[in-house]
Formats: sequence, structure tokens, C-alpha cells
Amino acid sequence: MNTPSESAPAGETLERLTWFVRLRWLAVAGVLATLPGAWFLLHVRFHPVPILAVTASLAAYNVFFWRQLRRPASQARLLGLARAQIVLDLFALVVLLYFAGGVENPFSLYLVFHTAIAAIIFPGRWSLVVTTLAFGLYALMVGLHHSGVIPYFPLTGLYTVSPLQSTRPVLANLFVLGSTLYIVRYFVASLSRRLNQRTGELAEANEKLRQADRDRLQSVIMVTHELRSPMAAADSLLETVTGGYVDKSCTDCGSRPVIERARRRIKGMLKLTGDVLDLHQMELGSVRFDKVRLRLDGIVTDVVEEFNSLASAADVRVEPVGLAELPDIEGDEDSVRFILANLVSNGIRYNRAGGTVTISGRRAGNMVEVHVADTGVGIPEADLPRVFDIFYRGSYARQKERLGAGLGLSLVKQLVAAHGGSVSVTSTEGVGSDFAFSLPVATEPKAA
Amino acid sequence: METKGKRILIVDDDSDFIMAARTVLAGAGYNVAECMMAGDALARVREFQPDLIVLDVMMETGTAGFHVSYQVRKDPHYARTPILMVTAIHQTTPLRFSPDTDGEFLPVQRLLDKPVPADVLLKEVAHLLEHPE
Repeated sequence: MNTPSESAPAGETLERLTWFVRLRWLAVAGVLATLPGAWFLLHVRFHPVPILAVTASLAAYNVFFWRQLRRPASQARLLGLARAQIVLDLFALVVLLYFAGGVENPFSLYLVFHTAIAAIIFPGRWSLVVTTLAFGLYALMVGLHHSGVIPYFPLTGLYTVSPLQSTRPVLANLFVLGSTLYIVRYFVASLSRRLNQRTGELAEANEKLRQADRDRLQSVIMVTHELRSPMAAADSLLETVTGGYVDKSCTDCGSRPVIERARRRIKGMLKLTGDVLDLHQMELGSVRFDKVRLRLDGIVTDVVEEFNSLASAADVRVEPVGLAELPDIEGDEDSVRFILANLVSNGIRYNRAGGTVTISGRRAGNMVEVHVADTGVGIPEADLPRVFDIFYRGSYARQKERLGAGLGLSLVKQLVAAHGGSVSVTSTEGVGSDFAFSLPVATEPKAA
Repeated sequence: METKGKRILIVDDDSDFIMAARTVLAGAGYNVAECMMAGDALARVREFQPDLIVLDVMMETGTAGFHVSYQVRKDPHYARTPILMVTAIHQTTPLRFSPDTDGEFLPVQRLLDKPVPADVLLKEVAHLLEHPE
């Protein structure tokens, strides 16, 4: 039988079967039109009653199948219906041929249709069975006619001498028809198989695109929401000034601190939109990196200094460990600074008083692996896979910081990836987190 | 009905929203207290005994405000304290809810989208204090 990848999807099977039923109405109409044409125009004489009887039964079982297709059915049932139709059609055509001249009747060529249809719907072994059945039934009929075992109904007027009277034309006819059937089956089945495979691949690719589109939409919604909260806050704050509420209530604050708060929210939004732009431009590959040979310990020293006041305010020590021994790396200086600054500032912000942030590194093959480890709140295990996702923020981060919309780690991941490295994180709740990233060891020789 | 001096508790993790709402409400003569953590909200309600609660939806979690409203309603002392829920997520997430359609599940009197204009906030608060049901 057919393997699932070989056969068409369920919707397509139903569509093909519906088409199949429509074709059969055409066949019924074709027979009814051919009979008077052959009789009156070609003056061919045959026995119309059995031929009309076969045509009537063709129409009758087509009504049956047409009704069946209008009910909901499983793929297995649809395929069963298809098999039954093909076999019935084969018998119908062979019986028609039997009553209308057998080997003399040129419509024996129509057996090709059954073979082709079987090969379209069942490109596997089943179409081979149908092909063999078609040829077998036809050859049996011709053989029994030829040997006189069954009565012969000649088509008077088509041939001057019936080909049935000698063996050679009968054999030639059988050989040509048989080979045609098998060749057609082979071509159609291989085309159909390839088509089904391609259809499957396209459906899979389409599903992936849909998912990507949904993810993209989700991120648009998240950006919008992250912008909406500070906008709402800034609007409410400014309204207390413009609406004259400040003076009525707050004698000790006035409007200036309110406006400053609103500005802080607006600055947060500016930073967020800048980060979103960076992130998407990096994804598009439209960001140019100026990769040069860099000493990591120098950059770390700068970054540590930059966060000195934040660290001392939070009572957190930032300790670079053994970075001087590391080989030079190759990277874009601004990007490397951003990566380190982001991880160090997270390490300080989500730490406990008296905690530490340790920056260490080691060479791993062609890469330098840098670790920024803190002694802070840690990240729940369930959240770890999402830490680098756009807008991920743990509950603790949400509670501690309204600003900084959770794009930092996404940017870190993109920047590291743009340098051919990777990011990872390990964390234990209540103990701390260890963020690691890798950057390539410089290959260019040192400048003189 | 005299609304001045009535006690209003604002539960929101956004200190800027608290500042704005407090300025408006205190300016109108209400006695305003605040709470920035959903986890502390029930204790703060018991301590402050508010006549009305202004409650944010998204705090420690995306639905922390809902849990606060259930906790408050479970306590028989505050089962009838009006809750004015405010949210910035109403239009931007698939979580659609409103007291009209989710009354059984969301025990709050009113649900407003942020930013809430000052006059709307004052009007809603005054209305809920006068007609708590």
C-alpha cells in the first residue's frame, strides 16, 4: 500500500474524488453521444441494449459515490471509495468493450485513463495492481473471444476484416495496449509521488512561515504594550500639571518633579524604540560591524569603572578575574562593550547587598568564553529557556525595575551571534546566575 | 453624600501612576494610601480600611490584580468595598475582560484603561463611593 508521504493530504484526496465523479458524468455523456454518432455517421452496427444497460449502471453508481462524498469521511474511507470506483470503472469499460466488438473496439485505449487516475491517487503499489487488473481483464476478454469460449458481439462496419480472425493483430494490440498502460502508470505515479512530496514540503514550509508570522505579531504586541505603559504613566503625570492638580495638593513637590518623572518615562521609551530598531536591523543583517583585534581586560576595566557608582550604591563588588591572560579577541568594540555593560549592570541590579559580580574567562578552542556571574536572586528554572527572548523579564526584574523593557539580553544574544559566538545561562534561585558568551580569538597578527 | 475624607487605597507597581493618581485624588480631598506590591495588598487593606480600592492588573505577574480582587472579596469585611480596576493591557493582549461580561469571575465594579483622565478618575471614584453596588 501507500506510505503516508506518498499519498496526497486528506483535503486533496476529497478534491480529487469529486473531480473523479465529475469525470464519470462526462464519460456517461460521452458514451450516450458516441452511440448515435457511430450508428448514424459511421454506420457501425452494435447491440445498443447491453451497452445502454452498462451506461445506466455507470450513472447509477456515480450517484451513489457522489452522495458518499457529501458526507464527512476519514482519509482511509475516502481512499477505500477511490479504490472501489477505480475497480468498478475498469469492469464497466471492459464489459462495454465486450458487448461492442472486444479487440475491434478502439475505445480500449481508454483503459489508459483508469491507469493514470489510479497512479495519481495511489502512486504506490496499488496503481500497479490496477494496471495489471486492467490489462488482465482486457487480455482475458480478448483471449476468450478469440478462442470462442464466450459469445462475440462484433462491431459491424468498422473493419472490413475483423482483427479477431487472426492471432497476430490480436497479439500486437495486446502488446501495445499493455506496454502503454504500464508506461503511463510509471510516468504518472512518479510525477504524482514527486508532487505529493513537494506539496508536503510546501505545507511544512508554510506552517513554519505562519508560526514565524505569529511570533512576529506577538513581538509587535509586546513592543506596543511596553510602550503603552510608560506613555500612560507620562500622560497621567503631565495631566496633573496641565490640569492644575499639582498646585492644589502637593505643596512640597510642585510641577517640576512630576515633569521630570514624565521625562524619565519618555526617555525610557526612546531607549526602547532605539533598542527595537537595533535588534531588527541586526536581524536584517543591515548593521555593519567594525571587527578589530581587542584586549578584553581593557574593555572590562572601562565597564567596571562605568558602573562603579551603581555598584557602590547597591553595595555590590564587581571583580574581574584573570582576564589579562586571555588571548586577544576579534570583535566590534562598541558591541563588546554593550554586551559586557549589559551583563554587568544586570549582575549589579539583580544582586543582594554585599554580593559580588565576577567577570572571568577562558579559552575554548578558537573562542574565548566570558562568564559574568552574580550572587543575586537567580532565575527560576522554568524561565531559563526564555531569558534571551525579546521582552522576557522575571517577576523580580519586573518588580525592581519599571524601565529597561527586557530587550538587553535579546540584544546581547544578537550581538554575540553576529560575532559567530553563542550565549548561555545557568542559574540557581537564591544563589545567583552565571551568564556566558563566546567571542572568536583574533586571527590577524598583532599590529606592529 | 460627602466624599471628602474617604479613604482610597491605590495598588499599583508603577510609582508614577501612583503619584499621578494620588495627586489628583488627594487634591480632591480624599485620604489616599498606596501599595506597590500585590502580595502586600490584603495586609494593607486590613491596615488602612479603605472605602475604595484603585487596583492595577499587571504587577508581579500579568494577572496579580485579579488575585488581589479575589482575596479582598473573600474577606467578609471588604466583600463590598468597591474596586476600580485600571489596566494598560486591555487593548493590547488577548486577555479581554470587563465587569459586564466577566462579572461572575471578576469581582470589581469598574474597569478602566490607562491612562485614566483625571476628571474620569474623580467622577468614577465619586460615583462608586456613592453607589458601591
